[in-house]
Amino acid sequence: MSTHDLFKAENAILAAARTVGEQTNLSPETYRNELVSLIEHYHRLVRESRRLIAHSDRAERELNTLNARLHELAVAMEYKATHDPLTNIYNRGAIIERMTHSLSKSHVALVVLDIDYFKCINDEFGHPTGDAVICELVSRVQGVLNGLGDIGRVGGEEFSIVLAEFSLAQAVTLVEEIHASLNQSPLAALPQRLVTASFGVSWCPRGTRFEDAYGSADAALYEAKRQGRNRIMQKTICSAKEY
Amino acid sequence: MSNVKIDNLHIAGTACTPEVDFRFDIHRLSLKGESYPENAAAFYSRIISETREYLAGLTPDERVEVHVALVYFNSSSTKMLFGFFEELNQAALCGMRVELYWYHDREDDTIEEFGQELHIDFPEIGFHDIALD
Repeated sequence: MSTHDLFKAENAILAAARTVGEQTNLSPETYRNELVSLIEHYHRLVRESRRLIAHSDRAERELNTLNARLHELAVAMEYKATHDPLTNIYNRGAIIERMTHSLSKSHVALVVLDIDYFKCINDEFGHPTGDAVICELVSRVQGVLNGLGDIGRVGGEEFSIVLAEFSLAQAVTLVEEIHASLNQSPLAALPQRLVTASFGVSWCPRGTRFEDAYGSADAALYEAKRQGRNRIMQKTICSAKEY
Repeated sequence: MSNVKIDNLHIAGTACTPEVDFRFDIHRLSLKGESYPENAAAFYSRIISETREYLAGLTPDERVEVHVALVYFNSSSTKMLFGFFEELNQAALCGMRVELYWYHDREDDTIEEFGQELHIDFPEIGFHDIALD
């Protein structure tokens, strides 16, 4: 037995009781004294065990509560770290990560969207209106997407939509719907003026580098802007691998 | 003062062991910090044996103050602390006045309740609950 045993005292009592118990010829008084001593220590042991168990149960309960809270906070932090606080869609870092991930798994149609004359809207109607325009425009886009693809805010008035496993034709059809939806009626946040957007769509085979995919969609967007805005331009990235 | 002079016991606190400041010369024993030592039996057996020696050398009318401010103690520390308080309780049974000052954060119900249980289990020791803000 170790000299530093948590149950040193208890083991000593047990050994003493055993020694007495193994003998048959001691006086009744001796047996009685040993029994009284054993009862006393047994009583103490029960009392201490009860306290210890209550104490550790309580600590465990608190630990579980804290752990649950920690988990909640971790989930909330993860959300904050990956979402745009204004629109609640993916932020720049998160949408780039989604894009990179999708490109490594399959072919991807990538859409970049820029609100036309957004600076003028901000200057003329103020930032709160600008923010409301952004939020409502995102809602419209999401309404058309109806759960398809991933959408993120990459800049002030610039957004990306990642459509994994989409053909270029499928992506363009979807973007045309978004484009039409914006042209159909003004946003409630700015009823006196139609808010439109320019779109660049690129189709990228699996394995395309993010920079190339994004650069291509961005070049298409630039072209759409150059040709007068409120339109869709497309580009395809060719690679050795055919789809 | 007691007849037998025993050296004060001071063990600096660490992240997992409490600061032990047993000023036997002024009859003031203090435990402060966290307690989850690798070997609680080893850590506390010295504390308990020196306390036992100190208590044995006291005159029966002596007053001893014990200040305990533990923010966390694990199960094996708890087991050893029971042994420590048992020594104090025995001394109190022999006529010495032992006063336990039990410190805890006002929000910490676990430590507070543990103190109340000590008060029930070691009735000879005077108990003073001190909630800290």
